[in-house]
Amino acid sequence: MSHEYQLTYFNIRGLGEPIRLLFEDNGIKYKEQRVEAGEQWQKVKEEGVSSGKVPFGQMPVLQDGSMYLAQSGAILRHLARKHNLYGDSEEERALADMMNDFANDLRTPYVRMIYNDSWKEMLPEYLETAKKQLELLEKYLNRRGKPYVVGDKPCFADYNLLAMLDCMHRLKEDLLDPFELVNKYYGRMKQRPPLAAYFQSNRIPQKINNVPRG
Amino acid sequence: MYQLEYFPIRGLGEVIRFLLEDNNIPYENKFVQKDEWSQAKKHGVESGQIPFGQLPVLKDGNLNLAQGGAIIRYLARKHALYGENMEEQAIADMLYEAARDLRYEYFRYIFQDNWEDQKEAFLLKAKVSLACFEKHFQRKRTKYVASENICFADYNLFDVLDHLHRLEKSLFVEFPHLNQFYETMKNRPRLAAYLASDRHFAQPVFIPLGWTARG
Repeated sequence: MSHEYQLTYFNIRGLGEPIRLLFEDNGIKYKEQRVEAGEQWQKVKEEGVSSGKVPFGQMPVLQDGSMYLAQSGAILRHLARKHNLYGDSEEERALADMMNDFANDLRTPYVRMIYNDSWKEMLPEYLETAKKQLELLEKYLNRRGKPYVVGDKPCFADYNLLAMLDCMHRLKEDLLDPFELVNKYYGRMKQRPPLAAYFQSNRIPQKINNVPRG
Repeated sequence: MYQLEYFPIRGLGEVIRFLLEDNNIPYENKFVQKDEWSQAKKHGVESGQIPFGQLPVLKDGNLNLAQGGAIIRYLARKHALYGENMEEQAIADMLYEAARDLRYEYFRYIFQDNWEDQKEAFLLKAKVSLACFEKHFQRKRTKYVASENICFADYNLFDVLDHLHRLEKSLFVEFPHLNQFYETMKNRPRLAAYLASDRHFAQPVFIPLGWTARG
């Protein structure tokens, strides 16, 4: 099937990055429409809600043929089904869903903090939350005993998890250090040749968030 | 037999019970009482039975599955409630996630101390989301979110709409497709029987608010 996906999102990593990481790691061709926050986004949103191209008034949106798919969790799973990135068994599929949503749980308090103008005051409490979450991830990786989050090769959830661990690492360089398996996992993902190249490239957005921090 | 471990409340567990009940899938509720939670959580985290220190968890044989979205999708795959083709599956996911976003908008609203004063402001915001769901049904013209057949996402949308409906009975007047969908769901025989039964937890209870009932 030769066609090109189009990803529409802000020119930041944010919720778009797990999707980009999935594309890049698997050599999947894709186009991007990167939208500036503010006026351009308002225009795209208004037109998109009306036309169905931005069905829920939010990005990211993936265009696949005539389908305009919103919600990063839906996009990741759709691509996972099409490109065999959803695990190889019923159990792996279940754990893929669980770990993807766990990665989303990592994102929630991070986003709440980083978008708040008083983020510096919120930072210590966020770091405590992050440590508790990383402890749970460490326990999970230990129990599962696999190089990737559900099995012997990456699934869609690994890209969401990598994106979040990278945010956390950028925020505080030694945040992952106390967690041996988490740290190894982070390195393993980031050093996969296509991803290592992508992180060095000029394709990866320089900004993580729509605020000048993080 | 599946075991759903959760609190004896509506919360994030009821939507899973909707799916199980409506499809006549045998399951057991393992209720964790408020005063048991601290111990249960500690033990669950150590043993891996409550992998992320949160409920709900679905136990199926050796699998201890956390995260509501993972649980409902696992059941959906096993019981043919995930659409019939890739497009329907994608739409199911999109609608499930969009309903989940609306659920959290509602939580953020109702967690405010002055939530009763904020009701009108919240409803204005909620209507922006509801308009998108309405447009979806207008465009698709299907009985359920992804097709003529029910899927897991329909239960999530129904649960969230029901929360909103409890808040404002006239809310769906301007959204005839959503109104139709809401009525369709409510009248599915098994679901209707469950909703009428004393097993159904109707009133939202919010754990972060100290197990307060609101809404």
